[in-house]
Amino acid sequence: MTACSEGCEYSKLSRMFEQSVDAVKMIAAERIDSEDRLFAVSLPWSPIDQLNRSVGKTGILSPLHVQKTTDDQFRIVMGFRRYLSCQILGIGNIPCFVREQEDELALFVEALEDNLATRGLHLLEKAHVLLKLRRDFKLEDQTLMEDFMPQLEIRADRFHLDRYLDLAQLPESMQRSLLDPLEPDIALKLSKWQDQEQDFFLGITSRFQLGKNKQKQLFGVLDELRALKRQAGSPLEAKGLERIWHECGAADIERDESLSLPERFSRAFEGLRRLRFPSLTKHERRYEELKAALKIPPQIHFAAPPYFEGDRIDVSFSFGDSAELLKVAAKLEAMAQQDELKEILKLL
Amino acid sequence: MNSKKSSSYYKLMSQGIVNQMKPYRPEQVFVERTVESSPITKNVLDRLPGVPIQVIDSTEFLLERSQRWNPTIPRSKKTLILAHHKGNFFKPCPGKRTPNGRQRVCCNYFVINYASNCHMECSYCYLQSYLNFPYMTIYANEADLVLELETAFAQSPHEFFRIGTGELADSLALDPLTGYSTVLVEFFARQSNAVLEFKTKSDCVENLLGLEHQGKTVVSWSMNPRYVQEREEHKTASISQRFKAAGECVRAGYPVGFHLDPLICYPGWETGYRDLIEEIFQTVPAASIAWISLGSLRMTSQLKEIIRRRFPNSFLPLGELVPNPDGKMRYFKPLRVGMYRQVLEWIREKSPTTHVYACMEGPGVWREVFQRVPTEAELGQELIQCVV
Repeated sequence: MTACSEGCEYSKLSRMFEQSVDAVKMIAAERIDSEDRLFAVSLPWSPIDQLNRSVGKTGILSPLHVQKTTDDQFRIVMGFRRYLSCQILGIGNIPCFVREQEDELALFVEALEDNLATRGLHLLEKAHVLLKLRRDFKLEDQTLMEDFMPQLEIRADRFHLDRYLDLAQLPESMQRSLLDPLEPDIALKLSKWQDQEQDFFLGITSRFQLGKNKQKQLFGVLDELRALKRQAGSPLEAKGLERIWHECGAADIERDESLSLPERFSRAFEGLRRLRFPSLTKHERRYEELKAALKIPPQIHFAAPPYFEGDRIDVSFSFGDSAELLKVAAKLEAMAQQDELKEILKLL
Repeated sequence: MNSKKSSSYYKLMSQGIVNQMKPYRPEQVFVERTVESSPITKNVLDRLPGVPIQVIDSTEFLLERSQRWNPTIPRSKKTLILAHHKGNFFKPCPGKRTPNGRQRVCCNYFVINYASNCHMECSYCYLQSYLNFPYMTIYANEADLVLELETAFAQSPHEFFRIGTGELADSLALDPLTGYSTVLVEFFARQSNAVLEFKTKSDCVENLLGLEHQGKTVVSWSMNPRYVQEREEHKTASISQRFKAAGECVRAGYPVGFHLDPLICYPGWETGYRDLIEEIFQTVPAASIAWISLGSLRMTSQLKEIIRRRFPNSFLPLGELVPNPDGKMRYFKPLRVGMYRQVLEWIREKSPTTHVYACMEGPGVWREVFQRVPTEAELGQELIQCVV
């Protein structure tokens, strides 16, 4: 983490309040209101399996920080995940420091510093920190950019601030998906789709266990097909994507258990691609048919330029002895006479 | 214009409801101290009464400001900078100077950049993803520009230069403010080894009409069917306005050019382009047409993203665009070659001799469309012969 300058708001606040800690007290779990998440930096759905194992083994080594709200109630300043662990493990009395400090911003800044000092924050946690500072603590964007974004290791400009604030305001289902490998860029774009369409997309990514690149490819082609349908005059409808999925045969392919999961995705995606790029995919199919008819042996590599942009075929081959070279040469000579090759050249 | 009006205009524009060229009026002007007394600065400031003006030492803080606040593109364009151009005004065209230049058939073109950015809003405009400095900028040290050109022409007296001004800005859209055309047309009229080309989507030709040009300035219009102009070329002059301006230039004796670039594929493109070509030859006698260029819609993946975000109703990013070796996406080759051939045939029906060439295309496409692949020198020479 980059240290902030001596005079910055962040440092001043944390210095002012660093000594305001009382002695440790044991507080009954039911007296702590974990629903009040004003000071929370972690997300309520962040996985805590590892923490559970640690607390189960050694108990709470580092007491929670709490603030008194009424005579017998407290709210958490630091330790939301530890509190949740105690709940899961049935720990009734929890060691806590009771904070006398009343300045809520100062306490939040301290909680943030504590989190940053002990672990890396997920980008969604950073997003929520920025949103909270702006929405709940009413800080100006300038302050967020100057004092907080560098601490969060986010490039301090308007573009990134807006992007993070948008992420923090995505629907919860999509935010949860971001904890899996859903790409933030995709999540932001996905948020512009209808709910049912979002669920449909997330369903595919989860059923096919798609990595980031495949998610990106799938999102790109579906988003453009969706836009094409709309431009062709079809109204936007919740089941539009499902219709596209069926129309290109992807639904049938998905059910084909004779294929592995990656094979199923690859073929389903090909179906979508045929809808999106009809001329290109028709050309590609014809090229593959003609190439297959040439019966090219595996030691000869034969490739058209990517997307047929170019007017030359790339051929390379390998051989281990003179006889093999002669065989390859004979095959190349024979190919040169074949009508299929002439037709392939016309495709370029 | 206040921001509320501006935003509703923008909405109507994106829906294709308004279709007229908007004269440019910034909300603020910054003038670099070194060009404070330039005639171009005076022209601009005289024509912008009431616009707040601030004299500055350097534009650096504006760059910093844009990086920090990342203003939207329309917002940035409300700021006009009258700046001192510190580098070279005069450069080879990007087709010549990019690493993949050798994969293209070049026409030996040069560019001078006396402005950067454009207040018109063509959805496909590459400036959206190209410019780091997002504000409207006019380089007001025109004496340096003229000196640089004089030196270049004198150093290569046996070379003939074709020079355009429309790389980073529309050549004429800001001319009612700057009056740059007067400086350049009169300068080129005196040159024996150079010709100037203005490329525009505007109808701002008023300053040109009384000038002594000696045929050394070609005024060119980027043209598309009305269907495309109304949906994708926002805030530009309508096709009728462009034709009217072209007619005025022909009557003033200028050679004119047309750039059917980008050619756009859409249902009914055949009728659209056939009608457009018909109208070109109805408006301008073939003898007054210096050249017609053809170019395909092209965009980087970054630009495609920007178009989808800024112009959600645009149909352009949804075409069958595929990556090309130069990193841009173009229509799948058989589609664009088919368009080029067809458009060329229609031009040939009207005028077998008008010089037609393709811009930013490789030898393969040239061979298929024109049945020949000229060298850079050959093509450059052919185009020069069209105007001298």
